[in-house]
Amino acid sequence: MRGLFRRRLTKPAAGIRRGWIDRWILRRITPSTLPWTVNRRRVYILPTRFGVGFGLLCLVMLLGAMNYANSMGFALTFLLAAIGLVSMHHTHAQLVGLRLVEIAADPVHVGADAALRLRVDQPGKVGRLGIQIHFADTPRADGPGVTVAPSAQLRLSFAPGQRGWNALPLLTVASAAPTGLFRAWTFVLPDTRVLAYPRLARAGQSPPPTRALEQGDARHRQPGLSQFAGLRNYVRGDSLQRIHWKSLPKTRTPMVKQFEDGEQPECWLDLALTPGADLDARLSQLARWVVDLAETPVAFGLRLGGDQIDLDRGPAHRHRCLSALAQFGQRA
Amino acid sequence: MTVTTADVLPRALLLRLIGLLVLVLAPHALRVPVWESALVAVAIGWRLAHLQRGVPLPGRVIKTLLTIAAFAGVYVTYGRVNGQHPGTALLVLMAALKLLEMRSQRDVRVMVALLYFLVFTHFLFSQEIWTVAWLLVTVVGVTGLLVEVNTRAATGDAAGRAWRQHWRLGGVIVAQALPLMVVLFLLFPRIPGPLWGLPADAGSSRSGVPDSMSPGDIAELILNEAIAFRVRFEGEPPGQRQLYWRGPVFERYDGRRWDAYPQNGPARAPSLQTLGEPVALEMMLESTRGFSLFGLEMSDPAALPAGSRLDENGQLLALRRITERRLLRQQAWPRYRLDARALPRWHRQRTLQLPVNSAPRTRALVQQWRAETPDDAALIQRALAHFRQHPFRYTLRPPRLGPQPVDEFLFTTQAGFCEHYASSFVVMMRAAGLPARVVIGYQGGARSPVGDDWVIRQSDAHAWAEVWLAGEGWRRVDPTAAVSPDRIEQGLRGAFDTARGELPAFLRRDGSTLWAMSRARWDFLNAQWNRWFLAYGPELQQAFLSRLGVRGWTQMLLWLTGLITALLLLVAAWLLWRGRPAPPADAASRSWRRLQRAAARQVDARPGEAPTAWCQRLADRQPHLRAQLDAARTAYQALRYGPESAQTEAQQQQLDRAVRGLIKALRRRRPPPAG
Amino acid sequence: MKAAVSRTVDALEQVILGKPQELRLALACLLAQGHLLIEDVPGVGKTTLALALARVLGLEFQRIQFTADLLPADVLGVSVFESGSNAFRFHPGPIFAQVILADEINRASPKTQSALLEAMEERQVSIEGKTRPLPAPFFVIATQNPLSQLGVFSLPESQLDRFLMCLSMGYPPPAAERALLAQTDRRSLLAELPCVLDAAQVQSLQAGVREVTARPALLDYILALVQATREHAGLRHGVSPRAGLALKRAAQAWAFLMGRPGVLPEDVQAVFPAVMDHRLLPAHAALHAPPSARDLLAAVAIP
Repeated sequence: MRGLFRRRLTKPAAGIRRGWIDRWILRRITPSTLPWTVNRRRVYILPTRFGVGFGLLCLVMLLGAMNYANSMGFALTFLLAAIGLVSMHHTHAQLVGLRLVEIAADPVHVGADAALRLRVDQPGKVGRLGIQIHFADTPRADGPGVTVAPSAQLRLSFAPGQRGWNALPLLTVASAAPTGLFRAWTFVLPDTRVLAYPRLARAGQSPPPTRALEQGDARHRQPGLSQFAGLRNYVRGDSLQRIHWKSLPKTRTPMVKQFEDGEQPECWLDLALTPGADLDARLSQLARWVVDLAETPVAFGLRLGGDQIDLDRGPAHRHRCLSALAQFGQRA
Repeated sequence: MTVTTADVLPRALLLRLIGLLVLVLAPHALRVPVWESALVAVAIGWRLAHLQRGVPLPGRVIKTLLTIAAFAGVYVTYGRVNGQHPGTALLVLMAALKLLEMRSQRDVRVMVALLYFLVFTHFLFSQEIWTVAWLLVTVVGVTGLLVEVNTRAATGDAAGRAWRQHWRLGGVIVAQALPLMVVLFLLFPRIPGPLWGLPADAGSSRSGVPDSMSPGDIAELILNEAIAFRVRFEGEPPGQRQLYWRGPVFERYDGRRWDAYPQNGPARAPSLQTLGEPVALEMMLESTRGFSLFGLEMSDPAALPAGSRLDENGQLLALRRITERRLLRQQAWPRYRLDARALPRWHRQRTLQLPVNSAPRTRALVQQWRAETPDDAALIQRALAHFRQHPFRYTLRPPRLGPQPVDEFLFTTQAGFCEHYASSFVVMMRAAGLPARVVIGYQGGARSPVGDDWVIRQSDAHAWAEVWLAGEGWRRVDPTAAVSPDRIEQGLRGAFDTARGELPAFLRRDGSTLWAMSRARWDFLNAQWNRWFLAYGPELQQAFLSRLGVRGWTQMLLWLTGLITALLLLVAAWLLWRGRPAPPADAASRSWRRLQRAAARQVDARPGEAPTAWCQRLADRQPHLRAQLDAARTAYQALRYGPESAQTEAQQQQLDRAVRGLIKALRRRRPPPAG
Repeated sequence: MKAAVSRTVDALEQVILGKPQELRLALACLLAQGHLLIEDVPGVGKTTLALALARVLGLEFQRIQFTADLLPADVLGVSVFESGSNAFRFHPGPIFAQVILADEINRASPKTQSALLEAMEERQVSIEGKTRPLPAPFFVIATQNPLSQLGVFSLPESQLDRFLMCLSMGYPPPAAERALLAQTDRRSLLAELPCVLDAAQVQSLQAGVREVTARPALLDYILALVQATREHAGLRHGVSPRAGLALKRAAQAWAFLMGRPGVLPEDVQAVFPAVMDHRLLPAHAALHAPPSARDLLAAVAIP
């Protein structure tokens, strides 16, 4: 008895759905531009397992009512059957008119999951109680749907397969609300693309080719802005003028004064000088360096074949570099 | 099984579920054995304690034990686990035990199915009018619960404040399903008869007149106010004295108990002669689980109701056991002669048979009479006179009778009921050498104060005698009438001295009070309910539908599918209408929206697109409309965004005019020829 | 009044070539009583714009070149003890003018920056306990050089909010640049600019801007836009209510420039990027540039 109750009751009936119906539908799908509205004619509907069970229940009741010539039994049976039929239309209405307004995603590295943010909108007064959106080729999880009233955000994780722009796979928009007897679904192939940075090489394999700015290089000197930034241990080669003599008796080891400017290290990353087995491996290594350098105050630039991104810092720069790496060699 | 967040059921939902379970189980509570009600109460209490106090739920072992104990208990109580009573008892137990292991939304779905089915089982026991309200309330509740658990699972909405909305939606779905239900009920083809035969305990236990008669059997029936059947006469009803509703005829006597000889050999038709005018009537017979149809004496063998036969003793019998209410059209001849020509030898022997040692005093008395009165008819009168002359009284509580009930009744107690009189009278006749037998059935009935029905209750059960006279056949003799003529003239109520308080309470009330009137109305309502709703089967369906002009299965199915489709389309249209984008509140926006919709095929409005940009795009495609578009746009912008002015109406008219013109132009699709 | 506006625009267009949109936005910013931030490389005509505005509108002009060693007093003014009168005398700084060009504001120390920004916001200067009001039409055009990230003090986000608009001039279109090259002398051209208005007229225009109707439907639109910035996951947090007010005022000024009695969604859309782009801050976690103001405009439906 327990086994029976444990069975998943909301799965679509049998294995029909994965079969010829989907194939037939998929042949007619073309990419759609967002915002996209669910078309009434493109909504498909089938009973769930629970729905089939409910149908069997009605059938058993019908036979019982016939056998006992029981009018109230007939009334209940017909009421339940009618509830089933009506709820089919309600389930259908959950989807019709629903709008997928936008899909946004932050770029991620290949190998990581991108969090897609889907904004779903509903017109009218139909309470949309359980909209599920998932990729058509992944088995549906039992949750999480959204209640769309009147607009909702939904998250979906997507693992891009290759660096550069990745088209989104087919999405299923489905609902079993309100009764769970039927499941309506439709497909959408959004023309949204997700940018994937190259796969990150393992950290610490080889350090980025950083070099400190030479004293004589005037290009990045900022006159009048020498600000004392702190002390660090003396390293052989430091200028004697920089030694912080006052602290010497206390610390026993010489300390060197550090200044914010003039000490700005910089780093040029060059595809041609990057070790790696193949292009993708080298791009991965570069991506790793970009990510690592973005954490430091080092200004870095990038040379990719004939293209060059100048020395800079900051998140926008990091993105510029990574997306250049992502799309390297892909723009025909 | 991993428990995900969606699997954790909120307390409030469980409380609502328990409430519903109690509501659904309540009518079953008195029907199932006491131990079972107690077990269900314990299960519910346990779950409540778990919810409120965190008492742990039973483990697997205890649950398994409980399940086994439930099966065992049902088996011990009923002797089996299938069938209507034990099946219902098991379902009730299963629902209660399911409550103890309710954890995920899937469990709730199973529970919902169980609840629906439990509602159904209730109707196997009771189909009274109030059950309709109960049906609606429970179905709305269970459907609301289904919506709640389903959408909650989908949204993972832990707060669960939305349950009112969910239950309202459940109510809406049920409300929309009701018209469909009515159509299905009326038009879904009904097949006559049980599909696989009724289990032995189907329906309530047998009611009505018994298969045999011993002293006290009928007195029990007198206390039963249940309706046996209702009758509507076509034309003038016969007098109360004529209303003998013939049931089983008992010819075998063992000194105490009367019953019928088992039928052997092929059924014979009665030899019947009818006289005078027939009476036509329509009878609504309650289910008796027997065969007797209680035809008014004497049923016309030439106009038998469908599915019935008239046996050689004049009893109207159904061909199948009566398991449902039936509407019968009967024709009866109040004046008749049965077996008038001759009584076969074997029959004569049967109807003269008396146990050897029974009623010696009676036999002695009757043989003395016989010697004094050779005439058969005079002898009958003499016997009846005996009842009248001695202080016999009519009572519902006769003293207990010993091994010689007839002797004791006639000579000692002299207090009894119709069965005592009929039984002792037949014994006297047989002792005198006259073939005689006992007939039981109903006598009389009461005209309903509401409607023109006659209501015959179980309390109208009666036993009388038949004596065979040469040339005349079986003559009905009612010795009760000799003792208490009022019983026959005025019905049972007249037979008792009300002051003695032995009349059952329901018989004591006067028909004129308000209470009685409302009771009569309730009876009438019940009668209509029975007659039209509960008896709605293949025959009534055919009659009803052919009155509406729907004949035959094909037409019925056509109407059924047509109406269902139409109703579902209405539901779909309603949903579509609800789901459409809400129209803007102001007239200007409505006009503008109309224009945008009309032009959607050419230029679909983008979400963040201002009217100017949209008009620009449209005008690029339809240059000849530019001027009109500009006019419309200017008016719209002035109306919606400009300073409020006195010219609003004029501007609105201008906008409407421009929009109308544009829509017309857009419909034409092709630009008019230049020049 | 309409004529005055169109004459102003015409006059300005003679000098600022190929940038009608930026020109109008700058004018709208002034009429909306806001301040303008221009983020661009040197030499694209920021100074010319400021000068031309001041000249055409008949306003007093001052330019402050911000450097690292500029002190607040250098901007606001200073009280000097005068032995002759034996009293302190206030020497107003360059800020006491009607149109200020604050050049390369991100080169100054935060202290000096905030002195300027406070003055901008409150339209008055408090020095040594005495409050001195700034002249009546008061319009600051600050410029920021986005190129050099090193050794500058970028304006903090909270200060950016004080600028009504942020523009980027960009390079002129080729035709305009050609005309620019063909011109003989820009200095004289500027000097020859007619003075179309005076300070009082500018003030009455500013009053006119406040009169432009913004109907509830339009306010709903502004609200929807503002909320969209708050809901967008790519943004750190939404814009402030001040930004909403700024958007409304800028849209009113734009509608006023277009000669409309009421603000249209189109007007909001016209000023939206200028008003919002510098207020939209990318979320910390976001690895890429935040959605641009144009993305938001495309996504938010007009109610």
